[in-house]
Parts: sequence; C-alpha cells; structure tokens
Amino acid sequence: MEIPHVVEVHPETGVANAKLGLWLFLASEVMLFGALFSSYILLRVAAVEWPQGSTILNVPMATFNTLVLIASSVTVVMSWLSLKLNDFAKYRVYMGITIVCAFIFLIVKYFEYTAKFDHGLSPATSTFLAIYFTITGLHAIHIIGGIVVNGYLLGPGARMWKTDPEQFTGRVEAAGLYWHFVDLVWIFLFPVLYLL
Amino acid sequence: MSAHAEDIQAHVKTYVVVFAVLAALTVITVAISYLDLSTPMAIAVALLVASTKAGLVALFFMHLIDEKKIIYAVLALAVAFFAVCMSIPTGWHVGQVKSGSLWSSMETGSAAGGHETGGHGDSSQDDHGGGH
Repeated sequence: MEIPHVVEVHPETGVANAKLGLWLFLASEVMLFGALFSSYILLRVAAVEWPQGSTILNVPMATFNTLVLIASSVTVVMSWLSLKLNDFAKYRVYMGITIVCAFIFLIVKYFEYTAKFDHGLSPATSTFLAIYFTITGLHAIHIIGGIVVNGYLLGPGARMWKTDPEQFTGRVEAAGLYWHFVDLVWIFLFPVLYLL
Repeated sequence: MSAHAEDIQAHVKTYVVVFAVLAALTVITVAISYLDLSTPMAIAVALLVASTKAGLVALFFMHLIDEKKIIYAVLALAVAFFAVCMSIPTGWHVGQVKSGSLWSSMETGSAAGGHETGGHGDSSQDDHGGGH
C-alpha cells in the first residue's frame, strides 16, 4: 500500500504529510524541553543558592560546541540545497560534514562530562548539576538520534536518490528540520546553563 | 527538482550571512557574560541574544520566513503551551527548595513522607538544610 501525500502537497493542509508530521513532532519536542526549562527555572528561583555556570562548567568548550552546531546547521541545509540542484556528490560532502560536526560535539561533551566526574561532580552533587546533566544528557541523546538518521540518509538510505529523488529530498529536508531544532535547543541551553 | 539556480545562489548567500551573524552573536553573548551586569540584566541580555539567534535559525534555516499556514498553526499551539509551561514556576519563591538538598527537602515537605508531623505548609521551614 502506498502512503499518500508523501511528496505531493495535501489539498487540505497545503503541505506534504511528511513535513506536517515532522513539525508536529517538533511541537512535542518543544514541550519536552519546555518542561525541563520550566523545571530549571523553578529549581533556580526557589533555591537559596545557585552557582554561576561558568564557575563549574567549561565555557570555552561549550562556546566551541555552539559554533560547531551552528556550522552543522549550515551544512545540513546546504546538503538539502545540493539535492535541489541535482548535485548528489555535493550532498554527500555536506551531509558527511554535518555528521562529523555531530561527532565533534559529542566528543567535546564526553570530555566535559568526564572532567566533571573526575572532580567528583555528578548529578547527585547539587541541584544545579542534576538539571545540567539531565538537560544536556537529553540533548546529547538527540544529537545521537540525528547521527543515526543523517547517517542512514548518507549511507543505505541514499539509494532512494536513484529511485525516487523527490521523496529522498523530502526526507533530507525533514531530517534537516530536526537537526536545526537540536541546534536551536542548544542555543538556549548554552547561555542558561553556562553563562548565567 | 525545479529550483532555479539563481534562487539557489541567493539561498546560499543568505545561509552564509546568517551563519556569520550567529557566530558573532555567540561570541558577543560570551563577551557580555564577562561584564559585571546585575543578574536580572544578565539574564535579560542573554535571553535576548539567544532568542535572536533562535529566530534566525527558525526563520532562515528552517524556512519559517515563508511557510504554510498549517505549520504556523502547529507552532502557535506549541508556543501557547510552552508559555503555560514557563508560567508554572512563577508561584514559587526563594527558599522553598534548598539548594543542594532538594531531595531531603522534598521528603520533609511531603505529607506522604511519614516522618514529619508538622503542618505541611511550614515543614520546609524547619528543614535540616541548616542554611539559617
């Protein structure tokens, strides 16, 4: 059975189902992270003491990671644009760079986490570290999810380019939207946890 | 696959400019954090810069600058619930949760805790956090 309106626009909504579905998913993601941000605010305003993030966390590392994620947002949108131009070779390059950026982010995060644990700082140490590990951990899981999806679209999933290029381009666009969202969450996490 | 090459070039230029602005704003937000601003001011500035960056990503990378009505409707719903979510902590005040001893504070404040007999509204006051 063929799934309708995967590529062609649905007459009722004006967009393809895949795109609408992806945006609904992102709306639910807003609530997921929104609940955690809300928890963060609650814990912070109700706390007698709250450390400034920069006194505990590594700001240069996080700044570098912010730039890495922003760069990957550009490359993922460029990969989609390359497909629009029928340039599959360029698509592979840009998608490859996006995945490399994601790995760089995780590696830096690994060094950040291990540095904390080496100093005896864990989620059990304080409320600040508990919410820090919870939110950044959830975000890291989203990065891993992005690697899986983008990796699939670069590897075995790329076969669809030969059979159905329009649907493949739609998939890359959807994966790109998700990746931008992951970047967007980090844009708020960085100042909230590290700088304030 | 019907995109015009000129349009695409314009897109590329936009992405590069947005990237440069995002990178600059990242450096600016870090630089501002080194200024000796009051906490409310620092929070306001940091959130303003972050919102600007998020706006740029959403508008240009996620193409929300030119999207269909249904997508805006979905987002409006998400924003409305997000606002409710963010308003929840406003009823809380300083001292209600003890920094670093949240779990013990919650235990003593809980009616179901079993080992605290005082009125539950005041139970957090005689907490063993020992702050003051």
